[in-house]
Amino acid sequence: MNNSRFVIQKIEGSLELQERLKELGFFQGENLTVIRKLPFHGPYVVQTNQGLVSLRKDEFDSLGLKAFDKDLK
Amino acid sequence: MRFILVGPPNSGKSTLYNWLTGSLAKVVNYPGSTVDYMTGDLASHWGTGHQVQVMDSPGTYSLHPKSEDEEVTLKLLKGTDKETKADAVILVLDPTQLSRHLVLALQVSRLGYPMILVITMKDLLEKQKIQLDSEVLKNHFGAQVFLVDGKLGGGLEPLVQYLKFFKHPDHVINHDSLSASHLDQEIIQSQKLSAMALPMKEKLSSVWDHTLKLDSFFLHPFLGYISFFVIMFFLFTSVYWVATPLMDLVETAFGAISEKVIVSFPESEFARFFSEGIVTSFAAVFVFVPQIFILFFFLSILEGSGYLSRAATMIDRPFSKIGLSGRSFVPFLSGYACAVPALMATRNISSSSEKWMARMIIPLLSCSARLPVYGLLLGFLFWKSPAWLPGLVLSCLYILSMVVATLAAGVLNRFIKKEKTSLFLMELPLYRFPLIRSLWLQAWNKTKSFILRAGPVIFVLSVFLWLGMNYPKVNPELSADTTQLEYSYLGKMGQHLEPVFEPMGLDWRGGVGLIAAFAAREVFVSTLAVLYHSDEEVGDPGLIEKLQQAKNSEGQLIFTTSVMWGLILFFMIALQCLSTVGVMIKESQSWKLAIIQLILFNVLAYGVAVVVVQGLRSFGIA
Repeated sequence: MNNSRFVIQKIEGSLELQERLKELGFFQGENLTVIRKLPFHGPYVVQTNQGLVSLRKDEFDSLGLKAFDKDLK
Repeated sequence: MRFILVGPPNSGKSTLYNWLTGSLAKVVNYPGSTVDYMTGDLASHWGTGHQVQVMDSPGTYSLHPKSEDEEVTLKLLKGTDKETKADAVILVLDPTQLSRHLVLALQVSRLGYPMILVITMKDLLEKQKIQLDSEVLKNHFGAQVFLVDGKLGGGLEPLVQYLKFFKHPDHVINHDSLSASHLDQEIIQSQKLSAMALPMKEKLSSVWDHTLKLDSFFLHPFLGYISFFVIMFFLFTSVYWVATPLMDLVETAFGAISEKVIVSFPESEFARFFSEGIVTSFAAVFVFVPQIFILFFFLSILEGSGYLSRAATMIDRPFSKIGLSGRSFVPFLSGYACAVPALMATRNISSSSEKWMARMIIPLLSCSARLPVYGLLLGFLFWKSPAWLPGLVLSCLYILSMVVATLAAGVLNRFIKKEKTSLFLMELPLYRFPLIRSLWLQAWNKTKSFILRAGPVIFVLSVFLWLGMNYPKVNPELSADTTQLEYSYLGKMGQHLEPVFEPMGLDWRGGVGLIAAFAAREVFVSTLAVLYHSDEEVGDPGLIEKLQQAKNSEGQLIFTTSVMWGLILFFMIALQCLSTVGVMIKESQSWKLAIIQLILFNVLAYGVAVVVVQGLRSFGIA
C-alpha cells in the first residue's frame, strides 16, 4: 500500500467532509500518493500536490480513487 | 487603519504578525495554533506616527467554518462588531500550497474587502530558483503582492511602507457572496490562477523531500511509536534532571537572602516576618521555576518543529477508542503545561461531543502548577536517591494522570450522545528548525506569566499565614505548655477542621495547606514551608527535612510514605485552580458544567487519597 499512487476521480461522503477534503487539496483529477498506513487501522498519510495530510480510513474511503499505474497501461 | 491577517492554518500568519507588531504571538508549526484573535500596533522600529493596527485571526481553509476557531475568523470578516471591524485584509498564502490557498483568497475577495496578498517562504522559492509571477495575482485580485521570508524577516520593508500609506476605498461587505460561494468553481479557478502564477510548480515538490525522509522514520509503524514514547519520556523526565542544578542555585540564592536579613536586623519583628514569611514562601515555589521553564521550552520545540501533528496522527486510533481523536492530542499535551490554553485549544476540534469530553478531562492532566507539589512530595519520598529515580517516577505520574484522564473519558464516553461525523483530517506541515531565539522567548514569556500569576497570590497568602500564626501572642507565663502556633488564630481554626483531614493522615497544618492550594496549587508548597517552620532547629534545614521531622499532637510523624502517596494522588485529581474554572465557564458557556466538574473532581480526589492512605496503612506501610 505504501507509496502507491492514485488519481482522485470523485469525492464522496457528507457535505462537510467533502468540503474539507477539497479545501485540503484533494481535487478531482489530481494525483495522490499513499505515504503510510498506520497500524491497527490507524490513519492514512497521503501526499497530494498540496502537501501532506493524514486522514482516517473512513475519510480516505470517501475518495473515489483509481490506481495510477493501471491507468497508464 | 486596521488590517486583518487572514490565511489558512500554518501559512505563516502569526509569524508575520510577530514581525509587524513586534509582539510575541505563539508561533507553532501545527495547524490551528491561534484560537483567538490578537491585535497589535505596528512595532515602533518600523517608524512612528502611522496609525497602523494589525489583527491576527485563527487560520481557516475557507469561509465555510467547520470548527469554533474558524468561526471566529468568519465573524471577524463579517465585520458586524465595530470593535473588531477591519479596513482591509492581508491575505497570507503559502506558495507550496498555492492552488488550495487561493480558494480562500477568492472567497475573501468576493466579500469586497480591499486586499493585500502576502506570499510567505520567499527564501524557499529563491532556494529552489522558482519565479512567482505576481502580476497574475495582482491583476486578478486588484491587490498588491508581497513576498516575505518569515524566518529572517526579508521582504518586510516594502510591505510595511505600503501599509503605512495604504489608501482604502470605501467598501461594503457583500454578505451574499458567502451563500453564493461555490467551492468546485473556486477550485477550478484557483488551479488555473496558480498554474499561471507558478508555472514551475513541480520544482516545489522537492521541498518535501527531507520531510518525507523524516516521516519514514517518525511515522514508521514500529520505530515511529518507539520514538513517540522516547520523545514523551524525554520531555517529562528532562523536567527533573535538567532542572536540578538550576533549582539548587535558586535555593541557595533565597537561603542567602533570608540569612542576610536575619543577621542584619536580629531583633526586629519585621525582619522575622520578611525572612520566615515572605522569603520562605517565595523560595518554596520559585525553586520550581526552572522546571516549568524547561517543560515549556521542550513543548515549544515539539510545537515549532512540526512533530505535533505527526504525534496527533499516531495517537488518533487509540484516542478514538475513548471517544476522542488525534485532534485532542495537542490540547492534551498543552494540558500538561497549563489547563487554560489547553481548554482554549479544544476549539480546534470540530465534533462538539469530542470537544465536551476533552474539556471535561483536561483538568485531570498534570499541569505545571502541580510540578512544585510533585517536586516536593517526590523529593521527600526519594530523599537522597539519585536524581533519575524521582525523574522516572515523575514521568510515571504524568502517564498515570493520562491513564486517570483516559479512564474518566472512557466512563464519560458511555454516557454521552455521539455525533454521526467527526472530522480528523489533519495537515502535516513541513518539518522546520524552530528558531532558538523564539523558543527561548516563548518559554520565558510563559514562565514569566507563571511567576506574575503566582507571585501576588503567594505574597498575600504568606502575609495572612504569618499574621495568623503569630497573633494573638501567647503569654508564656499563663499557658506554659501551649506553643505560639497552637494559640494563634490559624491554629485554632485548623484544629476545628482537623477531623476532615485526619483520614488523609494530615494534621491541621497540612489541612490548611490543602485549603490554601485552592488559591493556586503551588501555594501548597509555600504554605507548608511557613507552617512547618520551627524556631528550635539549628541551622536552616530545607523544607523536606522539616517535613521529615514534623510530628502531630500525639508525637507521631505526620508525613509518612502513605500520606505522601495520598497527597500525590489528591493533587493529581483535584481541581484547585480558579482560572481553569473561569475558562471552563467561558468556553462551555455554562456554569453548571464547571461547577459539576469542580465538585466531582475534588470529592473524587479526597476519596482516592483517603483510600490510598488507609489502604497502605492496612498493608503495614506507614
